Amino acid sequence: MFHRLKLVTVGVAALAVSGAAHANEVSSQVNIGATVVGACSLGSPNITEIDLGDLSGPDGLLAAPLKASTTVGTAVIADAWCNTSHRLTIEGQPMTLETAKPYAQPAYMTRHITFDAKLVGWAAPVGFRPRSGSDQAFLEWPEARAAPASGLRLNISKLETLTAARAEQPNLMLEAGTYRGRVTVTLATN
Amino acid sequence: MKTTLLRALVLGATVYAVPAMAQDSDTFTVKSQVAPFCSELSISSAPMNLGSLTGVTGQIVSDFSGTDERELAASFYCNAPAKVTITAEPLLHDTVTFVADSASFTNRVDYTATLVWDDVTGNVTSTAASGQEISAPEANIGPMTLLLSDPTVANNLRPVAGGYNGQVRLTISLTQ
Repeated sequence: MFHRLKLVTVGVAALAVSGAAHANEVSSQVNIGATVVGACSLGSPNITEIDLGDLSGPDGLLAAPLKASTTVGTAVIADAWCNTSHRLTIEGQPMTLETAKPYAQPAYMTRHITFDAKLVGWAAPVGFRPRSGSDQAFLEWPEARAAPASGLRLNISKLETLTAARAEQPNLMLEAGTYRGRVTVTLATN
Repeated sequence: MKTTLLRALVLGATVYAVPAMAQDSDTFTVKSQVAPFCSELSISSAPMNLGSLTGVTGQIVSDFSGTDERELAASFYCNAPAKVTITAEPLLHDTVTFVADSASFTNRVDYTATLVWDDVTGNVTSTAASGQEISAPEANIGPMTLLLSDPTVANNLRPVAGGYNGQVRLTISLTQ
């Protein structure tokens, strides 16, 4: 009898344990994480030099069509994008006579030509007129952005002659030679 | 069980009262049972770090560069048929819930989650509307591992920069 009571006791204990431990359903969750590094990129432009041809008109002054607001030269940058907030900067230098002269720039002549450099295809057009070489413009944008399929277009227009002090002054005669300027477009994450 | 034991006691008393016989026998049936049972699944809350999702072009990578595999249990078992329901939730950007330039960028990255439990295997993509049921028609025991693969985005969009988080949910149910 004593033994049987002992068996009954053991049986109840076993039931109590199994009732708590048997699980009909087990659920859990695995958390996963990843990162995307902030980046910007500009594709290769279709041309690296915009050739405006002969700058002078028949009178030796800057040709009138080049002074108009009509675009006279264009370069296209494909596949421009930033995946985060960023700054688009356009900066550069005016077109300058490449050949060094042994004399100072005469008052009635010019060796420097400024222009409108306007970048189209981003959130808003960004433009500037290079005169001293340190001119620039920029656009801050708070989120990711990419250029349309047609690309980012750099348009050149409204050329004008500059004095030696880099002040705009029309009707200066162009000294002969090759003129070359520079425009640099930069996309950078903030 | 209790009823059976009481009956055994009564039978015992009856046998005791009957006069001794030259030969007699009693037969007892021994009965027990094993309840269907799955072991506990305890998974670390530390996230699996899948690494950087993009390459130099800003496009999604073809394979995760970080940790894409985790052993959830060295020896998980169910002693009866069971099913595993696996649900994968996409990797979503931590803070960017709306993408203004949605023609070029996305805040969502999808993937495939594969569960391997000994010889039982199944997978689900995070694009699926509901979880995938994986049948284990017999008692099963063995290591349980989760594999993540095939990062994808819709329309080859570039993911917005930042942190991304997702979840894989597992529910293991006995089917008997």
